[in-house]
Amino acid sequence: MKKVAWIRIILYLLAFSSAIPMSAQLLWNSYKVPRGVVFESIFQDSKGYFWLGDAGHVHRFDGLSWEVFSLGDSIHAAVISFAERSNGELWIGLNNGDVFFRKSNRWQKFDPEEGTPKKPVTALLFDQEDKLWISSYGEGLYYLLNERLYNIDQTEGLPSDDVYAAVLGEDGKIWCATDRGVGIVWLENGKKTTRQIGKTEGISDEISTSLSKNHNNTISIGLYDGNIATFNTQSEQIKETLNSSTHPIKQVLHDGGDLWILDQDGYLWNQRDGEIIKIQTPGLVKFILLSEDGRIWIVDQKNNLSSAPIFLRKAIKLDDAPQAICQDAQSGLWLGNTKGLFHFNILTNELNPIPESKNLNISSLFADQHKRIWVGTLGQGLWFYEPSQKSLSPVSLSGTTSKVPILSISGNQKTLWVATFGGAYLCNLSPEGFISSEQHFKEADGLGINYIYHSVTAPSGSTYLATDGQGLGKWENGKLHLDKDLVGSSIFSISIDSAGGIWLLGDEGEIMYKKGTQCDTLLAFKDQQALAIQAISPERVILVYEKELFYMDKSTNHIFPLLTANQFSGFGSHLNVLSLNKNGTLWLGSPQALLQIDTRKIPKNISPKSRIKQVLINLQTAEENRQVFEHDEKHITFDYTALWYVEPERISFRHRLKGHDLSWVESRNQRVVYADLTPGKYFFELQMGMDDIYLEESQSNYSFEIKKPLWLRPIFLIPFFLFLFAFLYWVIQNREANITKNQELLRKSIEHQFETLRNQINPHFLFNAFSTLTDLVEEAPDKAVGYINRLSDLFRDVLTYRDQPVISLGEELRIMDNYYALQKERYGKNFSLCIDIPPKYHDKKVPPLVLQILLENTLRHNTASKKQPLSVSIFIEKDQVIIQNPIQLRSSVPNSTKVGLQNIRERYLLLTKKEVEIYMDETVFTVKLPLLI
Amino acid sequence: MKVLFWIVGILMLNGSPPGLFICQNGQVNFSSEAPLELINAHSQDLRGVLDTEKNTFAFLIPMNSFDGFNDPLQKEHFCEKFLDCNRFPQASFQGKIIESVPYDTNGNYEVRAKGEFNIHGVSQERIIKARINIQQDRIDISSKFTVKLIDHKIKVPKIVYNKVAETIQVEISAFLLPKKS
Repeated sequence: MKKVAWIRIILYLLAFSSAIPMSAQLLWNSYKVPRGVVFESIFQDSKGYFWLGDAGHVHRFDGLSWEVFSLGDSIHAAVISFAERSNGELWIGLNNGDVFFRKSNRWQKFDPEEGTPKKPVTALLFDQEDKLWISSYGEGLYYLLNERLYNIDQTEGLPSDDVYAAVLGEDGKIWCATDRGVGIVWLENGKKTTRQIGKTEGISDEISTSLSKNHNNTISIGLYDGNIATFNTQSEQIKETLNSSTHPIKQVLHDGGDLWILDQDGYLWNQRDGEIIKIQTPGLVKFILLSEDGRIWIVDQKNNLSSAPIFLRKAIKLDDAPQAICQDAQSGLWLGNTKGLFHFNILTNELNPIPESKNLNISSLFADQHKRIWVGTLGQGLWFYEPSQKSLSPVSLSGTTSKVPILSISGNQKTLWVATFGGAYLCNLSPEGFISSEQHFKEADGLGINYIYHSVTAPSGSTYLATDGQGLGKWENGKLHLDKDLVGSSIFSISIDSAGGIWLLGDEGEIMYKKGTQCDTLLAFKDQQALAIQAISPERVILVYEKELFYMDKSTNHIFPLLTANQFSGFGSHLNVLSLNKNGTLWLGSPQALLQIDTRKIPKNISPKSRIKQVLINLQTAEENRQVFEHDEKHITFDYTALWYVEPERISFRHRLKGHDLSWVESRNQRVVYADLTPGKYFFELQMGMDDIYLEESQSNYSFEIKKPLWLRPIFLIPFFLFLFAFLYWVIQNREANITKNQELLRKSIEHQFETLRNQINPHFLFNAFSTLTDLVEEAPDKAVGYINRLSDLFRDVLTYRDQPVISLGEELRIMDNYYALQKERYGKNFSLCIDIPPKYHDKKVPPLVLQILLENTLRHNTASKKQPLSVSIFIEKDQVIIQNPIQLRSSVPNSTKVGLQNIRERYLLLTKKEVEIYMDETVFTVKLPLLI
Repeated sequence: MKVLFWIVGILMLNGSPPGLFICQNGQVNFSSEAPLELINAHSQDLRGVLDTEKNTFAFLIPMNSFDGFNDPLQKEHFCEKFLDCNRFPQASFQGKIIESVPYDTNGNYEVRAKGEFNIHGVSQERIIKARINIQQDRIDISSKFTVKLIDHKIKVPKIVYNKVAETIQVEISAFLLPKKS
């Protein structure tokens, strides 16, 4: 028997052979990198993309894909430094001193009049005034002020022109690490001011190789001798010196609490609680970066890119799955499994079996305030172990239930709760911590069931019991009762946050939150066995499921994996194998390893983001932030991605174009094309998800508008309709005017006809005509016939032409000649007419009977006697017919309607713009009639 | 003035240190491209010294040596009103060359000279790019740079504001010969 026992002990030792104190292991993710790259630098921009510097190129990485940007065919120098300006512009510094920046999606060379350095640009910085600073290895420091580049070198107070690294301190000053100490540079009233920190100020080595700005007004200085000096920028004194006793420091970074150190040989170290631990890396490391989402990134010497969460590490590899964990007050962790109890020293990472317990199959542990470890087993009853005595003692609980599995133990100074599959025991403790009395709660005692999975005792003394099917039991003020809201559900795990909120994990993976009387089911993961819930702050919990570890933030409703099945072998099947200490360190047991989670270092907002990389219009990249497109820019393409570096392969997308899509469209592509969009307003929404569970908070938006073509826009339509309206109005008006004019013309014409007729049948005219005719009949009857003929011709002409607006001048002359002949019979030589109109004018037009009326007027107003013969002349002058006669007014003017001239004028007005001109001086009366075409 | 003394001193010194190159009549052109007027002027009187051992230099030019203005009145204005040539008779630039130049190797090099640029009595720190061509016993220097009037407190009356540019383009071309001791 003894021999067997020894063999067993040896076997135990062999089983935990990997439990030798060793460097801490992070859970590294490796990413595929493009072939043939030689990375020299890494940077994360404010959007979350990673940029890696290569020779003549920069590469952008989003977790899913790489994009390479060339700086130009002639650029072969390596990109060794990055900076982002406050406006998001990215700047890079090259090994040969060149500086480039990215504007409008293009890399442009920074080319000031002063030229750029010819030595490696080791750092680029933008200070609080957005002033650019360039540090060079060989030429000191440069800064850009009012578009002029200035230099600060060794002669002006910089310790050396060889600057290895530069950071912007929280004091706004530029800190430079050089071979001869640290230089601090700033401009005071525009004047270069410097200060040096060397051995006299307390740093152990003048050769400073790296700097880290620490966000707590300190700057850490990595030194060649392997030490790290942390300098307080406010007190301007060395705060502490960390003796890493490693190799020369190459890079030092501060994660908000602790330092990460890369040495020149490529080994990574982590300072934690004053200790320096070596971190295992996939390869020897070239350079490191801490990202916003709480990860450390490394590029190893083979140019592989890897990252790991800084808050999570494998403390030790395990060969047997732990079934219970508890933590004592002396930085000791206790693990229980089928092979008994084990002690894990947090400081030394040593795991030691407790030989006395080797036969126990431990399922629950509890460390009380008397340094005693209470041990619950699967069917072997309750025990306690006293580390100081190295003694393990059984405890007998009343009833016949000692063979019942004990799943959970909790308690405080006075009480101990033992949760079993045979009900719950409340044990009162004596001042020495021994059980003085006990009380057994069973199905019938208010629990409704005997299966209790978990018990948690709150600081107030209230104890919560997780039951199978009866929900949550609560012991308060000496009474046990069931929570009415939760009866019917099976609860596997309970956690109470610091604000008194109760977090519950159900057997179907549902997460419930109870505060006061309010009880909410937040969500449920049904496809995985739920194991444990642990609140780390009032709003944040860690959730352990069979395959994955989740983090949830209730305030933002974020939930996403911290560890996924691809990265980790899973958490087995035992409930509540975890322990959180006061410092926020959560110890979590899994079948393969003991995990240590520094919950304080889980960033508040590490939720993945979707990003729209670019928008293409008709397959051409659109300018950034362009939101208004022309009517023919209707083929819109979105290139997008998601930034989630935990497990990018699991990312899926869904998108919706409001104004086009009615519902979400799920996709694994990183591009969506909308062809032939109609004019209108659109809103593109993109969400990323994991395994088709989409995260609303990851949403990215892009709103845009496709304009209507010009001829459909108000700017065109309104003037167009105004114009059309005006045109129609004009047409109608014109037509109205024409109609009025025509009517007027008609009226004038009728008036004229009437006048003419009236004139023709003027009694005087008739009387005179008849008396002339009488004379003729008596004296020359043959002439009388001609006279009558002319008279009748005249009347016929009047009747013929009265309806026509115009007649030819020749015809008019003929009519007038007829009239003249009639009057000539009467006046004889006393009246003469002289017509001088060349025949070429005979085709020109005049209103009918105008000449006849004018002639008649002349005769009416003037005497034509032997004494004063009347001679009328008609001739053409400048396209006008002139009728002229001497003024020899009659003493008595016969009745005149005076409408003759007026009528002629008006008729002309209706026919032409040319006016009828009437001149009258003392001797001559002239009428000028325009000729119509 | 200090610069002048220095240069004169070096020139007069017998047995001066080796590696000194001097320039007696370098050419300086400047042009002011204002919206209303283009002014060009030039001088052949640039003097200077380059210490190839220490990689330092000093150059100066008398302001009244500039010629070639659009009219004589303009030159008068230039000297009296803008630059106050009586009080500040010279412009100078002295400092060191940032790059280490292999003066013993013939060739063409682009360098940056960092130093104090003084004109109108106002000194400004400047980095000025220059090309230097090293031949046997001769160094040619050429450079183009700008001078902002405001940097040197050169005030231009408003009335001629559109005739004088705010930034003046300067071109320098000079050759230096070794100082014979």
